[in-house]
Amino acid sequence: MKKYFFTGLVLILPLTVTVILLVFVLDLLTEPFVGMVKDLFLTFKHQLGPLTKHPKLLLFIGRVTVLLLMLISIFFLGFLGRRFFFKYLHEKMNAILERIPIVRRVYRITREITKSVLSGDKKPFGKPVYIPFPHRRSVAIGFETGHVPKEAEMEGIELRSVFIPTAPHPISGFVLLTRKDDISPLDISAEEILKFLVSCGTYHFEEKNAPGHADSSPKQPPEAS
Amino acid sequence: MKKYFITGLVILLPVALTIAIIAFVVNLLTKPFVGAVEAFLSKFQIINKGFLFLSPEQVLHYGAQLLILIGIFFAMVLIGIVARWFFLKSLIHYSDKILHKIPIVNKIYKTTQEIIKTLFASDKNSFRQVVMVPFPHSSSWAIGLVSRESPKICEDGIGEEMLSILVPTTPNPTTGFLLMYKKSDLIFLNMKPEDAIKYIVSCGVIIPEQLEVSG
Repeated sequence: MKKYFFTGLVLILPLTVTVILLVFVLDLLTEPFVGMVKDLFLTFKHQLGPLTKHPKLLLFIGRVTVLLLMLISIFFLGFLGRRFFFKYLHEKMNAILERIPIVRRVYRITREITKSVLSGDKKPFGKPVYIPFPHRRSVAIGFETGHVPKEAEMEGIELRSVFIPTAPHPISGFVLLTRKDDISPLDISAEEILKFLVSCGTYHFEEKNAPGHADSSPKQPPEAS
Repeated sequence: MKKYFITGLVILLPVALTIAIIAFVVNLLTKPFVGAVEAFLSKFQIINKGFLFLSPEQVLHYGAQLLILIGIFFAMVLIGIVARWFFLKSLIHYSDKILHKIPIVNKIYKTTQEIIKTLFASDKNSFRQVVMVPFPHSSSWAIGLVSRESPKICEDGIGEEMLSILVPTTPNPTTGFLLMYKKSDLIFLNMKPEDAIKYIVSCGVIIPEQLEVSG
């Protein structure tokens, strides 16, 4: 009985977690617009017929519509953004936003962060490394994210920024300014490192081809996206 | 007066907290289904009466939650039994393959699947051994739990046998740092992991020996 319960759990849990995460992201992205779209649907009640009868169904269709519209408008904006005229327009809009008192701060910070995260062919997390942390006698896995700010540079010592995430949810951590000589690179994809951290060290990257994982499809080499 | 109030609080608080945590978990598990099951149950007029001090709606709600919990349990067992049959094994294998091909879904699915597989398949010794580790520097110590041996690639880099240790934060032990220590730097404690968690959650107020004395 217990054995069967756990077999069922192992099968169902990944699916459930996937659905929960996807629904969470979908809700998060569509929340600000779904009300408008719902109202729009309701004004065309007669043409749409049975679709608008059920509130849950209406909400779901509204969310999917918002997501599709969002994808289309992002692609469209990206397409336009590469045209000359539109570039000029974008700069003008930036200049206007830079003048509005409080909006200015939020806009500038979010713009700079998105730019540095998404632009270029840098990996979002940086290079997987391990360093002595928090002291010489222990080691922690982290991501080398780049150089240190100019103000923090010291003479004769080469420093690098390293992000050490917490376990089991790697959404917080420390950014350390570490000597370059102390950093040992790891030739492993960021995805595998995250799996290692989330499972609190029980998942090992070497065991990808061990029995039990043999049926998983072959891994592609980590892409720089 | 004050003494009695505190005594009452000490008795009541653990019960209240336990109920709150269990109610939270039950709500979390049953929330996606409770609407449907309630609608289904209200069609039959069996439990549409109040019970003791509970209103009919409450009876309906709790009844639905109970049914869902039982349903979830048996669904798990059923899936487990079915999964061990040969024919369905290949069916599950195929559905797995399909999920591995959907663009964004496959990343999340693959990751959670591998983590959950290792969590359930890993030997039961994970997080059973309490250790003291030098943290955050070599002359102070912190309580940690042994996860398992460190990945080979890190051991080779250091050139010695290492263990992965989870050092939880206080008072919320759901975050922490995953650190690797040489075996010789660890002090193995003869302490139950539950006692270690109690010690951490209470910010060091509850010491395991005290618990044994007071029962």
